[in-house]
Amino acid sequence: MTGSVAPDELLARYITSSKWLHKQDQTVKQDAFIPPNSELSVTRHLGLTEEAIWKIGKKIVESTPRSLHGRADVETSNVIAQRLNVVPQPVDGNPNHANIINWPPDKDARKMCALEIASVADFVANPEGKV
Amino acid sequence: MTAITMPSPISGCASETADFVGQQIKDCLNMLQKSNALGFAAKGTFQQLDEVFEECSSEGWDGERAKPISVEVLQCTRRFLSLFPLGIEAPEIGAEPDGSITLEWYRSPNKVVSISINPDDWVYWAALIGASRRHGADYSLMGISDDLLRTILQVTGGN
Repeated sequence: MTGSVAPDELLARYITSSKWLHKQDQTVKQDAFIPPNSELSVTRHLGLTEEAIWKIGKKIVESTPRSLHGRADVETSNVIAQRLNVVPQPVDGNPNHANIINWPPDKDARKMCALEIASVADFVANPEGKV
Repeated sequence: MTAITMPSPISGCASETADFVGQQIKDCLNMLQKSNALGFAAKGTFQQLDEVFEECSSEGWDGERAKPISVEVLQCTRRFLSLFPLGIEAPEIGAEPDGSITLEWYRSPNKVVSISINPDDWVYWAALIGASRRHGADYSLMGISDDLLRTILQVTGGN
C-alpha cells in the first residue's frame, strides 16, 4: 500500500456485465459497487491517458468470457462521503489499482452506500463497443 | 396499478378437503402469475432470473473476484418472487459480486429500490427516494414486509 488518494481524484470501476446497467438510461446499478468481500477494486485515473485506462479494463476481461461494456467514473470524495476509504493497492499490470475499504458489516448498509455511489457515478461506454 | 394479495396455500392440514382447497389455491395463483397484467411469469422475470444465474454462476464471473451465484440463492429468489402480491411491476434482475441476486425497481438515480437475496435466506434492501434513504433486512420466508412493499410502490408510483 503506497500513498493516499486525493478527494478530487477520479476512480474507474470497470463494467463487465450488461446487467450492471439500467436499460432505460445507461446509468450504472448499485450492483456494480457491491464488494465481493471486504474490498472493492477500482482504478485511479491519476496520470493515465484515456487509452491507458481502457487498456487496463481490456486486460481484466481478456482472459475471461466477459465483455468490457464501459466504466463507471466516480470522484473519491463521493466514496469518502459514505464513510468508506480508498487505499492504493498496485497490482501486476495496474499500478493505479486501489481498493475501496471500510464497508459496513451489514449488507443493507452496504447497499445504501453502493446506491449513493451509483447515483453520482458517470458511465463511460467502451469506445470500441463491447470487447 | 393496485397490488392484489392472495391467500397463502394451506399447509399442515391433514384432511382431503384441505388438500383440495390448497391445491386449488396453488393452481389459481400459478394461473394468475402467467397473466400478462398480474404475474411476474408472463413479464419474463423468471426467464431473466435464469439468464442471470447462467451468466453469474462461476467464480470470478465479473472478470475479477466475484463469488458465484449458488443454486440455493436461485431457488430462494424464485420462492421470494412467488410471494409478491399480484399486480406489482416486474423488477429488473441482476447480480452482485458477493454472490447475491438483486431485484430492482428503478425510475432514476434518485428514485430506486434494490433488494439482495443472499445465501442465508435473508433479503437486504435499500432505497433512495428523493432526499429519503431507507434500508433494512427481512427474512425471505416470511414474505414481503409492509415497509418494503410500500417502498416499492412509492418508487413505481403504485400508491
